[in-house]
Amino acid sequence: MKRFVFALISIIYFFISCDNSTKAYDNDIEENSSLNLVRYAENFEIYPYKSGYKLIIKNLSKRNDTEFYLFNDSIKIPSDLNDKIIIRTPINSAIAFSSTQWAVFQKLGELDRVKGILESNYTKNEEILRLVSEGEIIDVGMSTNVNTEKVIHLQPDLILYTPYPTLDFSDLGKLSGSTMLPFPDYLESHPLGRAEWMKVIGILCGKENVTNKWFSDVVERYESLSSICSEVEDKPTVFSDLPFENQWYVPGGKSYIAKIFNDAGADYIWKHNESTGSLHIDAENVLLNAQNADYWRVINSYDEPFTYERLAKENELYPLFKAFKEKQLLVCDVRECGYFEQSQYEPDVLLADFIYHFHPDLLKKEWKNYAPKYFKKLVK
Amino acid sequence: MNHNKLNIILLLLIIILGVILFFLNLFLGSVVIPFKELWNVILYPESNPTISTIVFDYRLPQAVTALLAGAALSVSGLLMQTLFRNPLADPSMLGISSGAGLGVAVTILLTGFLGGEALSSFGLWSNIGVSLAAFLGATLVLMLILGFSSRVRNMTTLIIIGLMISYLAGSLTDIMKFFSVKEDIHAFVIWGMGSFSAVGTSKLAFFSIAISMGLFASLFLPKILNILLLGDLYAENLGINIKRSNFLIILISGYLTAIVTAYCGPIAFLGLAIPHLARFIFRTSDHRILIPAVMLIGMLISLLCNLIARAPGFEGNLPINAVTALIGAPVVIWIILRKR
Repeated sequence: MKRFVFALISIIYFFISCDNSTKAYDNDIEENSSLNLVRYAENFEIYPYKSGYKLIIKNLSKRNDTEFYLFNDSIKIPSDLNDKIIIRTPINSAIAFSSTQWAVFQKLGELDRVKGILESNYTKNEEILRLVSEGEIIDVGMSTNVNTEKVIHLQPDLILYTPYPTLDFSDLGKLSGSTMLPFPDYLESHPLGRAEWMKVIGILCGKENVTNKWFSDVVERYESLSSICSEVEDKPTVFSDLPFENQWYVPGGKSYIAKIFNDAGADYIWKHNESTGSLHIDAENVLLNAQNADYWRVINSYDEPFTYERLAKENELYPLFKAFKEKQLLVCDVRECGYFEQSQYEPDVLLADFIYHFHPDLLKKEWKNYAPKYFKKLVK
Repeated sequence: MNHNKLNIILLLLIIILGVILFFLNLFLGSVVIPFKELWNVILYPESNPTISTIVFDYRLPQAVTALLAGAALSVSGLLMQTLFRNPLADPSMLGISSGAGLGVAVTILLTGFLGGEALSSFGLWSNIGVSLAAFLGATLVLMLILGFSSRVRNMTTLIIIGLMISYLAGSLTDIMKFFSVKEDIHAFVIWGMGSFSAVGTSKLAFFSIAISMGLFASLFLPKILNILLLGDLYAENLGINIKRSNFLIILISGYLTAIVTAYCGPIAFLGLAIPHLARFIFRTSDHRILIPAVMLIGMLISLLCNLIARAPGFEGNLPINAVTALIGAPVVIWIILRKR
């Protein structure tokens, strides 16, 4: 009997493991240029390929990278690419899972190529909300619960999705016949790397010249701003975020936020940590380390007015922090400023915001009368 | 009318209702398809490829999954209730669903340890990670329970062991969730809500064969189950090997639960409620009737739940677990009150 059970179970494992075939990655195609056009981002590479581009998106595992070949509509596809994933540009229709994707289409004036988005109820972007209400853009659900029927019905050329280890979108691509393009922009640990993802959307819209120019302007401004803080001696200390459901998640020491704090001439409390994602820290440790920090960065996504009084009622630990007592909270109201969709592409503006608070006298010349866009000091 | 004839008429009625519900499952969803169009696509799938994909590649596998999962869980619940002579027994009783949950949580924790990018880095695990993990967890618990069942004679003891394993797996799962990143916890929560859409066309063949094997095996059990109802002593006097038959019943029930949970998440309530519904409708405790009856009623209710979960107006899919209890609980209360 027991043998029978083991045999049965091994048969089942066999079937489950045969269930899916993994495609081997081959890189036998000649690249006609080894010049990677990407400078800061680590999760994608772009190479000129014949008269188009080869786009490599690093998989989460960093092992099986996915290659895409992008050619303008007017160009004949080279014959050696028969079994490769080809994307014709400019694309006609796309579904953009993340607001960081459609934000670039919008900035380029190419929103008519976006036919579907996710979670439209989380944005305050008026144009998007109008297009959704007019039915020009269809809301196809949540990333954890995509409405497959609506996606099949839309049949977009391309689905831009945010890959997470635990979410599997492979069936979605098979059913809709769309090309699935992963967009792991959130993994970038350099602020300029996150901004560089605009280049992918630029190529997809046939407007790579525009996004290349935008990006090099951003880099130039970011570098000139960070250079003015590189010599500062007197660095204020800063920490970040409010607890979520009593769990305190703070940016890791190698995250893009930690990098911006550093470039703005501040000492981030957890700067020695090695994580590029977020850290889970218990309240005692937050108190121990951050109680005497000079500044506290907070992102507010509530509708209610944000005041010290309300915060003190919400959590009795808050008033124990020095930054709270001295009213040094730097707050971004995400609904007001489009933080989640836009700030990624404006790391220079984020940096200027923090320099404005940490070292106001260092902002000179064209930055002299700067008014922060995202992070403002909470006064009341 | 004689009792047998009535039973056959009832079974036929359930089958007819089931067929209607099956077609409604193909017809209704968040994309509105006019009936004429649906008919056209059923006759000539090439006439509209988009609609055809929605109907045949999305709604059909989902309906078949619902059908099989409903039957499997209901049979599994009936076996548990008879084995433990306990009307509250259900497939989750022996900790098998919790084991599946633990399996999923372990993979999620591993993803956290490897820098938040793990499932896909296991190669094989990438596409089927969650199902495989859930199945491994469920099987592990099933093996444990089978091991205990051959040592323990008293079924109450086995229930307590099952509950304890369930708590153990649950608390380990909670600890792992505590240390996971937010997105993964969300994915776990969604898995825990249950869904018939995760099987899809690619895994449907395997799922169907695996479930059918278990259902087929259960058709050989009525005689043993009927005798067990009389009590262990009586059964032994009739020449039944109690330990072996217990082992067989737990194996089949656990196997069905493990497969369904691996692919659809821990779906609650059907396994508990359907056997009661079947006993009420057919007014019998004869397993020769009850086993086919719970299979068919399980299919029927499961299709109904799937239909409601995907009804136009509920953008996307409502979690199956929310729907099963929502429509099932009042029905069970009503039945119990009428029975008195």
